[in-house]
Amino acid sequence: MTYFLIIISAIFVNNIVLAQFLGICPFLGVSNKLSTATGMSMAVCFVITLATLVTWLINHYFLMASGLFGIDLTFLQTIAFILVIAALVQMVEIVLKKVSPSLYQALGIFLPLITTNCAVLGVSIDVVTKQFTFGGAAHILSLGEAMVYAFATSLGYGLAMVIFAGLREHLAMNNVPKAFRGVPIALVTVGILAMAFMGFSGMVK
Amino acid sequence: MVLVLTGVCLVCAALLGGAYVITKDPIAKADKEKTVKALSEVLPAFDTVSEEPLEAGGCNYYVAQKDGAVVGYAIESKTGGFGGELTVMVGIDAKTGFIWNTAPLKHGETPGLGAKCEDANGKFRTQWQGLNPAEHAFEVKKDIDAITASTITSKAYTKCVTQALEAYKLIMEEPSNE
Amino acid sequence: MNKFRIILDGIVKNNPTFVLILGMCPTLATTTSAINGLSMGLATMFVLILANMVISLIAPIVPDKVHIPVYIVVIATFVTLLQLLLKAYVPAVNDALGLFIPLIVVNCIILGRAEGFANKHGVGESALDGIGIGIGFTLALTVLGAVREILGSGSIFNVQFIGEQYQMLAFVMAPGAFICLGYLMVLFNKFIKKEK
Repeated sequence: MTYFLIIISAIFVNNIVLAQFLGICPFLGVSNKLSTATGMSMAVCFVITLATLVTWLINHYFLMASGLFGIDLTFLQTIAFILVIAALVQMVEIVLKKVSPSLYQALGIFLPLITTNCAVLGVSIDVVTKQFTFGGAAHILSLGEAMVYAFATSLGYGLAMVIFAGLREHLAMNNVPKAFRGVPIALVTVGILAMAFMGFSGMVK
Repeated sequence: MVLVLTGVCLVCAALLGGAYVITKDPIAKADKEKTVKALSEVLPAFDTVSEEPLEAGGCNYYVAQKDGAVVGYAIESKTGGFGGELTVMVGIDAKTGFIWNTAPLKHGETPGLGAKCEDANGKFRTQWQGLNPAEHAFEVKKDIDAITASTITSKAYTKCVTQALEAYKLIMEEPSNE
Repeated sequence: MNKFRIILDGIVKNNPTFVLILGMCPTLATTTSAINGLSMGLATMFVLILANMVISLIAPIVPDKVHIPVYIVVIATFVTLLQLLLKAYVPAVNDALGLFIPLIVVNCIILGRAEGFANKHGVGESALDGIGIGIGFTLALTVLGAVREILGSGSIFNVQFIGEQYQMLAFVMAPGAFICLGYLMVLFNKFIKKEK
């Protein structure tokens, strides 16, 4: 039941783009075409889930006072996590190239962009510091819950991205006033989309 | 190549370690000050208060005294709010047993919405002052007006107060507090 | 004159929010009120100036292959420093901005300026560029914060002047952020970009 709540909450109620404002830059940048939007969403999904797994373990076993070193190193969280994410993205790129060239072709160009996608760092910091309230008492997520949360969050990212790319493809065919062209009209559209997603709020406490 | 990267990492880590040691005490002090400020807000005038918190019914609490007589109890109570844990300090007037005032200690509520529970002079905070726990059931939308568009925050806050009142009953039952 | 030019470019011609369209996440997330927008702008400026200066100093000795990780480590160090200082001396700001303080690391403005400006210029110019871009970012955030605060909470810098029945709460919430920023960009395009 807790897992179900986490999934619904992460995809719809607290959608990472439309409610938490994370990962907006690539969201606006690569949502011109449906095909690139799908590729980017898949790459983000892959990296967020993997990064959360690794950073959760690092935080638990190395940085926390109860970890291997026995001293509280959580102030190094930001610097450790961003390095891990950067290294991870590089490794994923190398492995994909070797193992599955076709997947690499589909995701390759998006991977370098992901290091500076704040959704990845945002989610991995959130799951180790924020008190979540799924299933009653506020608590820091366990590894299992963190993984489900990360995966569901990235699905939410994909959902928002795909819907928005669809809207933008239609928008491109319309006659938009000059000052509105490009990003401004896109922002107003996202605003209306965010309003639609607000209908989900209150569904999960 | 590796040398430069390792070098930069080492220098940065050393720098941060130093900064951490220097700021450790001020951070602890800042946390302590939050509690002190909340105590002064939720309790009637007092001159001494218990240094370390006591514990009853799962809640930490402080006893405030003036001229040697107990004037109030400040009880910390927590529950899940809209954006993570919500901790509220509830001050109770020892003379009457009424709520003197309440204050949120820690919260992750949305700025501009649920975070309005911070506003000491706002409608939500002031409505608690002087309420008699015996006369109210403390339910949002009945006894308590919710913050506009922040029902979840209001409900969580109310739950904190209810928990604190439960703890207060336990404190009163202890013979040492007679 | 030249120095003045660098700062002015950062505010108008290369305005990070309205022209370069970088750092959108903190721009949208932290501008629920003018004061929050201002604090986020200043926090980013602090990191931007220091990171720009250090990177312009170390750029010549950093091999090309590892320059991005090195820059990120430098930026992350200053961000953590800022976080510790805020926690110690202005905890209220740290509480209000929350997650978006550590996320300054991945703010594309900072890495963008490191790559696009600081590694090619001297310390002095890089500092000035940091100041200019920082002011541009801070101004944009403060204006957006002020507009959202006036429409959504009926106040400005916490001074209440519109009654509760006329407040439009949606502007404090997520949709208002997107729509406000969109319209501000339109105004910027229409009136400021034209003067060339």
